[in-house]
Amino acid sequence: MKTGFAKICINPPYGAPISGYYEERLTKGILDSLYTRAVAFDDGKKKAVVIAVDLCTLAQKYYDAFKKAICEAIDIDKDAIFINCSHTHTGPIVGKDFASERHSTEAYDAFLISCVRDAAVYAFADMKESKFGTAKAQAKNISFVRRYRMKDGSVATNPGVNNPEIDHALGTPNETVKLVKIEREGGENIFIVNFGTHSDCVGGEYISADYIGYVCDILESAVPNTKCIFLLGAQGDVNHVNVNPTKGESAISKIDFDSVPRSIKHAEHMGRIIAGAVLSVCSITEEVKADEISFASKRIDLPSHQENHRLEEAKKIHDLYEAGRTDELPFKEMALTTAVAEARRILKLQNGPESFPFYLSAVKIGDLVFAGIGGEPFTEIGNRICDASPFEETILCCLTNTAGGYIPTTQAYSEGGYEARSSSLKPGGDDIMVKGMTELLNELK
Amino acid sequence: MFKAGFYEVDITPPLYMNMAGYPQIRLAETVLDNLYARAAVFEQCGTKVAILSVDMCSLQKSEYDDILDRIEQYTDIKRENVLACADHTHKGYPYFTVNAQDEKIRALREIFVCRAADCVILANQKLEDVKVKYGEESESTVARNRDYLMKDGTTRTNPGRLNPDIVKNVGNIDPSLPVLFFETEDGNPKGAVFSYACHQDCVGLEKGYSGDYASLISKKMKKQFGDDFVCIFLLGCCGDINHVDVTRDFIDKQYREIADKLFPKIISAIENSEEIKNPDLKNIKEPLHIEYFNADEKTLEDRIKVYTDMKNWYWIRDMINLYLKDKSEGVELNVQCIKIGDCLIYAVPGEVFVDFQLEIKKNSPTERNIFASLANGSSGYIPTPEVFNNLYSYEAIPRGYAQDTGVRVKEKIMEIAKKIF
Repeated sequence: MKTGFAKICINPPYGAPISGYYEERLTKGILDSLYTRAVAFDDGKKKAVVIAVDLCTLAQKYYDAFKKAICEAIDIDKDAIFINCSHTHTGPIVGKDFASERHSTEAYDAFLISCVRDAAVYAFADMKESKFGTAKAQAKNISFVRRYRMKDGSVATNPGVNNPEIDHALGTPNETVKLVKIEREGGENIFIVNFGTHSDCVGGEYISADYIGYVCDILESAVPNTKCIFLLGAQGDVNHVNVNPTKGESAISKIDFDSVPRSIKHAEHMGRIIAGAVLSVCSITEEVKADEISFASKRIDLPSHQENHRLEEAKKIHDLYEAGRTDELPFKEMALTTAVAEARRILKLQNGPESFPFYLSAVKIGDLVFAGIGGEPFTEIGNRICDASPFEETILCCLTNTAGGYIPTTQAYSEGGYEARSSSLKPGGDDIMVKGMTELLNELK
Repeated sequence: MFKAGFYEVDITPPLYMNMAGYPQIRLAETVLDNLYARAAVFEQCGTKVAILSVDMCSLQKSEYDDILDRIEQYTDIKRENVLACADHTHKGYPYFTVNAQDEKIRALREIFVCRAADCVILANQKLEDVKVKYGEESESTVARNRDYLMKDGTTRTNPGRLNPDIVKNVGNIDPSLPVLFFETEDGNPKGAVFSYACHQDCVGLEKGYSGDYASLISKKMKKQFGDDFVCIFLLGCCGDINHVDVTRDFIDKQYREIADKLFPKIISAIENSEEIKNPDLKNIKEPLHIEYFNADEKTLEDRIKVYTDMKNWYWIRDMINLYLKDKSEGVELNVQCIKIGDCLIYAVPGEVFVDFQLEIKKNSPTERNIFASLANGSSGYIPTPEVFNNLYSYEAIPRGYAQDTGVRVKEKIMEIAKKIF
């Protein structure tokens, strides 16, 4: 097996709109650069490429455009192209924004497509004979399920730090960091790091790759002759907010959009913890067979979350919000964001569609598999897929190869919270997704 | 207090673009060295001046204007206070003017303009108190005048390596290597501006993007002073200067050897530099209307015959035919002087011949002179007047600037230098 690595800077122009929130943010500078990174694989018969892009989300047409451009430049099957978004909330809008009418320029879109294509081309030009190893470690106390049962019985997402009304969190974060270490003859080694927590620690109007940029930078600095790529795991219900913060945590952040504490310092802190976890195991990885490449994809259809019986209520909330009359609504901060997102979802889906297509992807490298699902699945969905996987080493990635919003667990719909109320998918989507991905992985085994 | 801010932005274009510099189409198939825009912004007593250098063959007026518009939109830096120039790499951007209707070229142009301007915008965010130092070294084994006296009595440009008909080299070079070095009060290095007069066309055969020897020097400077150190290269007046040693056979990737020679000299210049105490900051940029070379019909016919006979110069003949169809009224160029203490930065348009640089230095009001050619939205050779009498000149072609252009640029910039100093 030969592998190659490349990365290309994809910073947006000054003034470009930033993706992630329900408020306008225009780029005022660069805290740290955004990249697209690619790891290429070639077993002598087949090729595959795993790509990470420092962007919040991508519409389906961009995944398709990236794949088309790569297929035109390289002799590769489109199902062997695995593209993962980092979900940074301090990156540019690409295409039309999910929360507004803002959009990127055609020039930036064209530039981005060439960057992703070129990263793949350069990675395939960097091929070296390779040996694979894997390891797992724990990154403790930096990830938190952000949905809480409140003392009044309700469920709230991001209810605010030190909120006395919080009773308990509705779930447990997955603190496992997965490492695939590729040692290359005569070339730089490659670390593939996989972890699932929202990359939304920074906020503001300055571009940043969030904690993910720090993970890569720290590892590349700490381990000589090493390049790093980060693949985001399931994280729909998990972020960095400790609602009972230590004094140290409070000292490095300030309250930002939706009453969430954020800062570049916190991203650095997260990056250090995750990189530290990787460093704790990177010298003792277990060799994994990586002889042949295979890949597959599968379409599943997840039912649409229409609620036309609530159209009137939704229209009222939406209109008041758009008119800037939020003081007439009985919501504030995250509760307001939740109500508005839910209203938009109800209005958007009033005339269909009945279901949404999702493309599940799997790229197998010997005994290792990269499993990709679209959207932002809850942690539990990721755990269920990994548990059901016939592979010992399953790198589960969200926001991969297909567009989509939150994918909550069925239980979350009855509980409430921002993700379930705003999701375009009906309850039951989690089971369809787990079943579909399990079938796909079994086909590859 | 004198402030400076530095920034660099990766501007490497997508693959498969034509790298400007040669008449032949050369599509980039790889990246040898990433291309960058590099900027410094200086501030003193409310005056702000920016220097922007981009890794491309030439920065044309249209892109220059758009970059300045964007800088003015997002900063308090006035357009007349920006020096924007190309470093003349022949392994860089495509010509934006050619195939301008091509969607990919238009998109690339827009991104290029944004990124180049953003480099200044972001350098402006990094302003901090600095000490300014000036040092100078000399390197005479890299730059070579490319005009040669031949056995048949003619003078020819680039007559070819190991050509037995060469009698001798017949032109000057300027081996000087001036460096402005900027560090914080506590000695933390931030950036440098240096200049050397030698064509950036030394990479060789591989079809890949590169900022040529200046990009390798920048990498070495980062190793020396840290990853955030920004090293801005200004191309001196080298219209008739390149790196070709006609006594040696072709060397691929000679830019490595050149960088290896220039880098230690730059370090030496920095180590022996002197601080410019309490530097003031002044800037003047003024337009200068230039006519095109208006050759008579006989000259044109003679030259067309020469170019037709010379297999590699066929494109000049095409240029002349183009010129005959569209006789333009001339063009407005810019000349500019920036004063930092007792150092003057001269910014001239196009590819000015080195003799003008030597003359300007001789008459300069200071000993500390730095030159930037291909500045402020310009391209094309600006030879000395006598070159126009040489039928075999590569640079004095009848689509280029008029015979008196070099003299007028020199006189105008000397006038500005005296005003500013």
